[in-house]
Amino acid sequence: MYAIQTTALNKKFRRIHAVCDVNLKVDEGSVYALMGPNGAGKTTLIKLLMNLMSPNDGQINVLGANASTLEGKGLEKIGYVSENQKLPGWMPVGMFLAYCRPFYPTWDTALERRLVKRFELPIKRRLKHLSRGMRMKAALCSALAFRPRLLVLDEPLSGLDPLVRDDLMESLSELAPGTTVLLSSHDLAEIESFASHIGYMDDGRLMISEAIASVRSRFCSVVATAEVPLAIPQTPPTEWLQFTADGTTARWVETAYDPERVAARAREILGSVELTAAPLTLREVFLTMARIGRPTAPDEPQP
Amino acid sequence: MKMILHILAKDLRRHRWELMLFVLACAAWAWQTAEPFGLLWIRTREFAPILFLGLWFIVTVRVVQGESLVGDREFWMTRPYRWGRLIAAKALLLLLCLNLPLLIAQVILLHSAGIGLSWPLLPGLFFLQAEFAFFLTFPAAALAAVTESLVQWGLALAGILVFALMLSSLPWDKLPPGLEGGENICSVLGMAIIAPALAFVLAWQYARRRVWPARLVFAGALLVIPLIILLSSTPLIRSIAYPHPSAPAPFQLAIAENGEDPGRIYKRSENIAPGADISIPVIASPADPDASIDVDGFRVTLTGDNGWRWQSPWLNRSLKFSKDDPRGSIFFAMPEESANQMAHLHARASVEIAFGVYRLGPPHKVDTQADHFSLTSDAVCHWFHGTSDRFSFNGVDCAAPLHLPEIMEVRIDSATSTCPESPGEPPLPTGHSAAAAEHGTDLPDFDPDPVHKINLNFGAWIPPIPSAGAPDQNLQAKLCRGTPLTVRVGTPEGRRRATFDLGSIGTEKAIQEDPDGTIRF
Repeated sequence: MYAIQTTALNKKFRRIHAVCDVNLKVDEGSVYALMGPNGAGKTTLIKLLMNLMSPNDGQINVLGANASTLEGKGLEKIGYVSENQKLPGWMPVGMFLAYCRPFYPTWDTALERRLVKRFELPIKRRLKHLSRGMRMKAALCSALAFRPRLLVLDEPLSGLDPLVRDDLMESLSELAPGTTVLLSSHDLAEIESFASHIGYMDDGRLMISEAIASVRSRFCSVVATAEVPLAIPQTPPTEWLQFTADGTTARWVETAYDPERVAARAREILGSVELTAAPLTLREVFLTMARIGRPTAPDEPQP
Repeated sequence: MKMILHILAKDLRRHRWELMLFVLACAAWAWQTAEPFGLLWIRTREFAPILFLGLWFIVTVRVVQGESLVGDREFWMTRPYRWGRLIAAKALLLLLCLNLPLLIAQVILLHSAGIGLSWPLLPGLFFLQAEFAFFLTFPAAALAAVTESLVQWGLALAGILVFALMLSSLPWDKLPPGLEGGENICSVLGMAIIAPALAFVLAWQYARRRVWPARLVFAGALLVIPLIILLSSTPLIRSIAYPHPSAPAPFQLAIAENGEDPGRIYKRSENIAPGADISIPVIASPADPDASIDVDGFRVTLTGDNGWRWQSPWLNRSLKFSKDDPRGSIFFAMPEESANQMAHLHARASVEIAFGVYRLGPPHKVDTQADHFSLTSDAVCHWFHGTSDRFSFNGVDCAAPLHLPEIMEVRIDSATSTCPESPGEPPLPTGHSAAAAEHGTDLPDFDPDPVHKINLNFGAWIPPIPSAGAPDQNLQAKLCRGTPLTVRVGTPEGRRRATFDLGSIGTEKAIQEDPDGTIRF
């Protein structure tokens, strides 16, 4: 069962294809980190999921319902926090939380109090007079206090100092088990330890979407060395990214690493070689993806 | 309901300063209207209505845009608002904070005019609130729903005003003028298109927030206005508004022969605009003495020797005929060349008239001796007397609540006049009367002031009484305290058209040409 599922999703702004054929599946209970550089289409995708925009094409299901009908009651189980969201700045924090309370049947006042205390929110101060980090905390408090089934966070941590980041990330531990979190960020370091799944968007396309463990295991940097000059292929296999060869040495990033299969394939193409493989960090994976700019997914047919 | 009140309470707190300012502006306007000669307001009287109206719009826009319907960054859009409840909360706030102060101000104004609040007045007062909500709040809210901020709303309004200016600069005078009956039909038709369009814009925005389609619908609704104006001058609408039944007309019309001065005037007007102005005096003979004829417009056809024919376009002219005031004048312009031909071709005239018929009810006498007296069941009058350091003045003020009667005729008779004789004038002879008529509407007028002044201007006595001091002038009838009034109130009986053959207009008998080019015939 998916908390979020999109099919062939497209969104264009005149000539700009902000979201291009995105098929996103977010498992219920997972913490899905949507990564990508600025302008990759993450925020647009999230706005489509939240029915803040309508797609040009494609289907969106959020918690089993079509996202185009997502409003009113459908939002009682979804928490949304965005760095771009306009909060009612004239409201003091206490009034803001009190105003949100009646909208949610599942609002947990005790949790609200705990979060206010943990975030050290100044109840009487107006939202517009708070620092950016404090405003995010207030928004997160209002999005967590009703124990949402799905929490959508659009760049919640960007530009915040490390202490505030830690506060916000720790607060997510208050979530009930089984809560799905979709979190977008362009900074991998801030979410790497937290996410169970990861998606990578670039230029409107979802290039990777899978469990973090799977990404880590299938991406390797491979070096092939031979005693005689290598037989360098005109067109390397598609799963060999950033292939370079220099006399007796070839290097590439293997996107579907399996020691035996990779060794057999290398010998078949390059001749007799010695292989050395080193796993990539997530950062290296994304840098590779960003450089080549083409999608790859585990269910892509492997040669 | 709980959620509606929750949002309402938030908005009341959010907009408390604007709302307070509006209430103050409303109070200032009411004070100024009730005390129109107060010294404080002599130089600022224009500002109170502008401030009142401006704040009405500002409050409407701010309340609607409190939960902005444009953009995708609004906090409320990702919260479980039910759009029906949100729109209900906004509507309730606007009714409470705009219409309620206005209603209270109107009750105070009625009271200050001597009209007490009574049960029969309540439906009219509520209808007036509905009119204000419909004509002010509703369009302002619809525009606010497709704009993001007050500034953007103001710019959009400025754009609409520029559009209206461009429309008004079009050569509308080339079209035949629309008559009142046709304009009424087109107004209803326009409302029937524009109101649902604006309602759709509001509902669509609240339910779906698809800004550009909503903006297009709004713009489309505006484009209906010039089409409606065009439609009102078409023969189709004219024939619907003024049917041509086979039944005889409720009055006859003939040229009024008036002794030595026939009063038929043909005046060349080359100096102002090329052409000639023709004026033909007519007299109406209503078949029913209780009928009053209200002419909205007419079209004149002239025929002459050798098949000569000339027809005027439909002309938007107001004439009123009744048993006691049967005279009027058919006034039209024609090209100079046709006018010159007409003068020698034994011209005959026929006139097609579009008119409304009113039936006057039974007369009732009103005693005007008391300080306060009632003209009708709800129209009241009071005698006033004032002095200043330079002069003193007195007279009578009459007012009706919410709207004037559809037709009301107030008559005085020379035999019962209590006015003192003017210096040098003999006592008034008997057998003369004078009437003041007011035409109003069947529904409350769209006017924030619920007090409608009744103008008791009686004009000259009929038949005329020449002044002893200035024989070329006729005495004007006046109302003095104690002069009994005869009041008749009427109801409309519909509109129709009729054609009258006036016969020869006798231009061949032109008897006099003035130096200024006026020919009387």
